[in-house]
Amino acid sequence: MQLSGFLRWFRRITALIVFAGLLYFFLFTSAHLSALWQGIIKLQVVPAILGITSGGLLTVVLVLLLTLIFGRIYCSLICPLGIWQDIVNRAGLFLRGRKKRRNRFSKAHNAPRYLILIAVVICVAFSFILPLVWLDPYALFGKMAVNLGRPLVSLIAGSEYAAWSLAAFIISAVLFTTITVIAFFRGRLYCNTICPAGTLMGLISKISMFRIQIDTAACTHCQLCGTSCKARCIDCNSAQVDHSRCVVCMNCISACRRGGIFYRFSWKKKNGKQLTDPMHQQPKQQRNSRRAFLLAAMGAGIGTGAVLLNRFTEKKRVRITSSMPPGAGTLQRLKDKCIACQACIAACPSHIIKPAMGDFGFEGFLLPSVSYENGFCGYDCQKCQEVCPSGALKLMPLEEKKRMRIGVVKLTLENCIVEKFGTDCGACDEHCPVKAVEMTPREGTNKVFPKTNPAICIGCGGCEFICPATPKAIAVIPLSEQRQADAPVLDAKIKVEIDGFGF
Amino acid sequence: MERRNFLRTAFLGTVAGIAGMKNNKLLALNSRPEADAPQSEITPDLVAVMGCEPDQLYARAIQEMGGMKRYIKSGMKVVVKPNIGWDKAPEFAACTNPILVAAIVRDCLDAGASEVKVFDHTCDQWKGCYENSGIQEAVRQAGGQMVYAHEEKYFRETELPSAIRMKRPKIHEALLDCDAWINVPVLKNHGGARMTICMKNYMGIVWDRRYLHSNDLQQCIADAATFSKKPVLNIVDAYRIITQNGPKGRGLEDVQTPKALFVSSDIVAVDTAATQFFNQFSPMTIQEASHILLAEKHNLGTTKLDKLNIKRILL
Repeated sequence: MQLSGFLRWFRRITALIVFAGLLYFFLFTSAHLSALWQGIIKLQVVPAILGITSGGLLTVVLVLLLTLIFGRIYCSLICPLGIWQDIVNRAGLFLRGRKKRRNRFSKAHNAPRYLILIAVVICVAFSFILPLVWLDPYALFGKMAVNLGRPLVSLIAGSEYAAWSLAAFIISAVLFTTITVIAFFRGRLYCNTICPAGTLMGLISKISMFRIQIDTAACTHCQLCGTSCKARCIDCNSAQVDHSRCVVCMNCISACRRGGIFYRFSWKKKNGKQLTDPMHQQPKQQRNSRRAFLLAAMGAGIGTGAVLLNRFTEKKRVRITSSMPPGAGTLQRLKDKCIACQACIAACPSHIIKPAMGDFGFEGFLLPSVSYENGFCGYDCQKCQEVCPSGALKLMPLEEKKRMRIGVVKLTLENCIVEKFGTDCGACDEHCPVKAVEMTPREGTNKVFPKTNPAICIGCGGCEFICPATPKAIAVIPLSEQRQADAPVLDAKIKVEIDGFGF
Repeated sequence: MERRNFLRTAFLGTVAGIAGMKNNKLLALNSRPEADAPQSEITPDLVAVMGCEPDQLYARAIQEMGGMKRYIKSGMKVVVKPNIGWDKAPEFAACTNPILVAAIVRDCLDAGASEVKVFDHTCDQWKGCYENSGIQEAVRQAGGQMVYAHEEKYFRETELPSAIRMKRPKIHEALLDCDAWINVPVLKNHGGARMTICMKNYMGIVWDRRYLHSNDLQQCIADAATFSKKPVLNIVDAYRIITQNGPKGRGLEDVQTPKALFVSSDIVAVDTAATQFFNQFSPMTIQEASHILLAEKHNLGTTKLDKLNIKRILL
């Protein structure tokens, strides 16, 4: 009993730390990012699967191993959306009163959950990951925190929110309300019905090393454990736990007044006390096998259909209306890797990354796009790459990032202040870190005019951001394929010796 | 209802706490032995020092100018306005030398200033500028406060009656509310304005930079300098200077290290002197950096250096 109490508090405290840390990261931090929070971000399993070739392998192995040993503790300890649902469900306990049955056993919704899992696996296998953008818990959490939370924080702090997007706000608000209401009334229904990661881990947790077990000798079928179970996976009448849905929250252990529930090693051979009775389960499974096959076929069909549809509607050459953050590579690569968790939007200190609307086509909705309205890409900055959990924005050496061309400069000289009014300006030259635009003297005038060198331009957008002309005289044309720009030819260092002030 | 109110209060309190913490006033811990008593002779109009480290240059120059106590009285609220425009380390000379800024902040506090605020409306992302320029850390250690200038709410509309093109800019509140301020630019060439010295440094006290650029940059810079609260001192950092690809510079090849410093209360004179000094590295005249001439037309000072009492010190 002592131990279970400890485990429950360990779960609560760890979960709160992780949740608070992630929330803090998404809502407040931009420039400062401690290694701890970065670690939590990188522990998210779905992004890690997508980024398996770029450092995600360790996380995937770790999470699967943890699940195999302890069950779905990932869902209770690390998944921010799961923790949020726990908090909401717990709040429901206070608000709805003790008399009402808070939770009660419900059957697993096997049809939708395996259908979704199979369809998603097929889509991901053929690198069509749009479904994950809308199903992955971490991506959903990020979208809500960034599009809903950050504007609210800015509102309270009385500052402007640069990455504001009404469409993203509304969508996030709807998602947030839905998930919160479901969690309030039905506990972890989302995790056990929709979440593909939850379903996948549920397959493993069925046979995990440690599991929750009910001692039939002690059980009086009093229902207390069932009412405390937010996963609604304890069937008190038959004293069985559905381990595929159990997130090992340990609530039932504390709830049981007879001390009849244990979290224990379950790989040893059956002893009399254990409940799992093969005689009871065998016929049930047989009855379901045909349905299961149909289900699998349907899931596979849907998945394949989605992949094929995507393949056929895909265009060879895409014109995009916004740049992609540095490290995205090609538009195709971004679409193949990014689940729109929007960590990059939260991390960008210049607030130039925004959720895309139609910029990348409809499948690119809410993916990170760059807008130079409120700033430009910092020359020495690669925060977006550092926080990207799936490697969609590839972390590269800083020197490489400094040459990474996300767009290319286009000068419309007739709009330029110097050309129009004959007065000095030079704002673009001033902001350009590589001098891809430079103020150059023109013969017959004593003025300097902007002159561009697109070969070395990296598309950071400093020129476009600061250009005071209306319409802008200088702008960055987005590129759907990022490449290294030429290195600028540096001026020679001329050592000048002086011996006086010159005045 | 009670719970909701409590939660709201708690949340707002936390936010306020986080926001407030950053503004924490740090106590001035450093006290230095007083510099030598002000010189008895007539104070020069302009002091130029060259040949040693930034804080030594400053110490010597301010001593020649009669000591900080001449300019900062006890209890005054002071603003020190360096150039922190770019997210660059000190050796790239894109921002004012942090050692110099710290020395000035410390000196103001020693002279009895009740507070010393430091800010700039930066071009690059502000946090990066404040941090990587080394100025934030230096100022905090010296006992001053860095204040925000990255949002419009920190700026208030102000009338410049004698301005020609920029009559109603928004100017930073710290400057509007202070008793005295010190202008501490770094000497650099500039793609647009040709030179950036004291007057160009005024761009960082104004919110809308684009307005200046699109309404005759040179005239607007001179207009900004007509702001009625004149800096008590203009201290030009020429320890490291950018002579090409300014004002940001690309690399160390754009930087020269003449180890000089110019101080004057006459903003036109000190900009003229600095331009002539710069001319030794790369050709430049005040006719090109014409805001200096336009400022003379505004009667903000004189470009005729030969009429001034200039003290030149080579160390």
